[in-house]
Amino acid sequence: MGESNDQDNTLRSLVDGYGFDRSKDPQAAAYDEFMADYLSILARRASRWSHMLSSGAVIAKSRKVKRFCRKGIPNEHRKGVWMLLSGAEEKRKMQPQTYKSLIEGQKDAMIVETIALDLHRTFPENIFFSTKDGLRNSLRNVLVAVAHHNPEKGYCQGLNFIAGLLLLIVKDEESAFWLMDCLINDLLPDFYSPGMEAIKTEQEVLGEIIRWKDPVLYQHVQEVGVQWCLVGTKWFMCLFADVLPIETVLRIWDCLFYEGSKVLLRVSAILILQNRERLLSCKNFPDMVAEIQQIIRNPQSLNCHKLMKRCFKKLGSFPSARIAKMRQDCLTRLG
Amino acid sequence: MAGNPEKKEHLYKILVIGELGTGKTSIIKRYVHQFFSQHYRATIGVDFALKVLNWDADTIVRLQLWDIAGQERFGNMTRVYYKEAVGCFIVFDVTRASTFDAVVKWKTDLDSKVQLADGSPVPCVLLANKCDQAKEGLVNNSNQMDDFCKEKGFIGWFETSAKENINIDDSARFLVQRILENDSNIKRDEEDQDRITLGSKQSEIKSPKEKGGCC
Repeated sequence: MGESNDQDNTLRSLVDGYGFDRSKDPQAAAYDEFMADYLSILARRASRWSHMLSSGAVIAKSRKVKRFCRKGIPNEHRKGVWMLLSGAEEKRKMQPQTYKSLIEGQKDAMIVETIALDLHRTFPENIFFSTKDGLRNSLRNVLVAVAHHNPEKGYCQGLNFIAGLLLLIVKDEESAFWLMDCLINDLLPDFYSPGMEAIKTEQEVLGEIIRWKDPVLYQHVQEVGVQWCLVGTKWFMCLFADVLPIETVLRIWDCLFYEGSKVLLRVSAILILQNRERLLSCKNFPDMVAEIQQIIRNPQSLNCHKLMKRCFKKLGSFPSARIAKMRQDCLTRLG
Repeated sequence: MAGNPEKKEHLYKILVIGELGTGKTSIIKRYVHQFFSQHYRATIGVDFALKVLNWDADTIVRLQLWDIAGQERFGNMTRVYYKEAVGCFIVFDVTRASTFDAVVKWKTDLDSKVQLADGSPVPCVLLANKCDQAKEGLVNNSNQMDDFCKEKGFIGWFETSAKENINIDDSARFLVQRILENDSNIKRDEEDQDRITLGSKQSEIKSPKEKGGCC
């Protein structure tokens, strides 16, 4: 992968290891440059994980495993570790018939139709989703199963990107289904309910975190008139899938499946805070909105290793109790 | 922008709403980037695009287009999305009659949540998109469509195709024309009252400073 970096651009691989066509990606060169460095980090993490796993350690929640997850799970272990730590493996074992019966059972025609409208609009630049063959049928199955397993939520747009990315990594429908079940029912606030209260709340919480960590920036964003719910809807609903570069999203999910949704607030906050100077220089609404669109594309977002480090180190203390209190206050205020 | 100091510059917020998969994003991309692709992704929440028009020799119009997700549940967010909009496109897909049936719901939602400064409804144009394909329903009868628009309070309707670039610019020009007229009417009223000067357009679209709570 690294060798072609110095050569002519046309020699660069056009499709990455996950099937994303990067031939039109303006970030492609930056991505290659980053990957050249990141490969050595990946190699080191792979060897550390192999060592831990070969020593016979059971993957269960512990300080060490948490630290390892925060530093990134090697691709070859991702599926297994996500399944174990999230509780998805357990659910699948306990309910071996569930997925099959959801796929074969009676369907709500409206839900099936809505999902069908999003299939070709999920990662259209990925070779596994850009044609009718490939993974589109699996995507349909997983989304239909999730929607019918959670009838009070139904199908919510955004889930398509999550299911799509899960399929690219775990490569089997049933695992993707159970991972989504853990996300929706155990790990995340109620993001996918029709009323969207939790999504609205989480964005207000993000605002409160900015107010806490950087009151000057908070004040400026308020004055320009950009509301927090214009910033993070897709960030939270898609868990950064189709928002940040793929390697970055996977690193976030490595934490998410271990420690839950707080990492989403950490990442959102650091994305805002590390761009404070640029945001402070935006004097009006259109400029700031454009800058926020840029935030997710700049090289700082691409360098996932540094980004995750900053998330945990630079952001400092982030007590769950305080976040819970913020959620409660924001929910009441939105009432 | 800084060039001719005599040039008037307007910034207008325009909404693009309608059912899921009707082509809102495609229309915006065609209008702003003169480009069509079969490969757009589903819009989650809201997306923004900016179109700058050299309207006439001494007027620049900057349109901020708000591309709003079509799934019904995002209606829970629309109050904040709609705020201070001065124009709107409601889009339906001529190949799916159900998307036309939902047009009235979107119009009602719009009118119930936002009005112009003088309290009148936000000017709204109905777009019958994907007109390069076989049509279903009322859109086949343009007299009935005219009546429908009059009855429901649309200022007009256009058959559009983002794919074939049909009527995209024309429908936008039609809407902007109306917005400019409204704007100068409102300005005149205001000037009559207390001689507010033209100029700093940013202040128009800027939200009033509110503490907390949105949506």
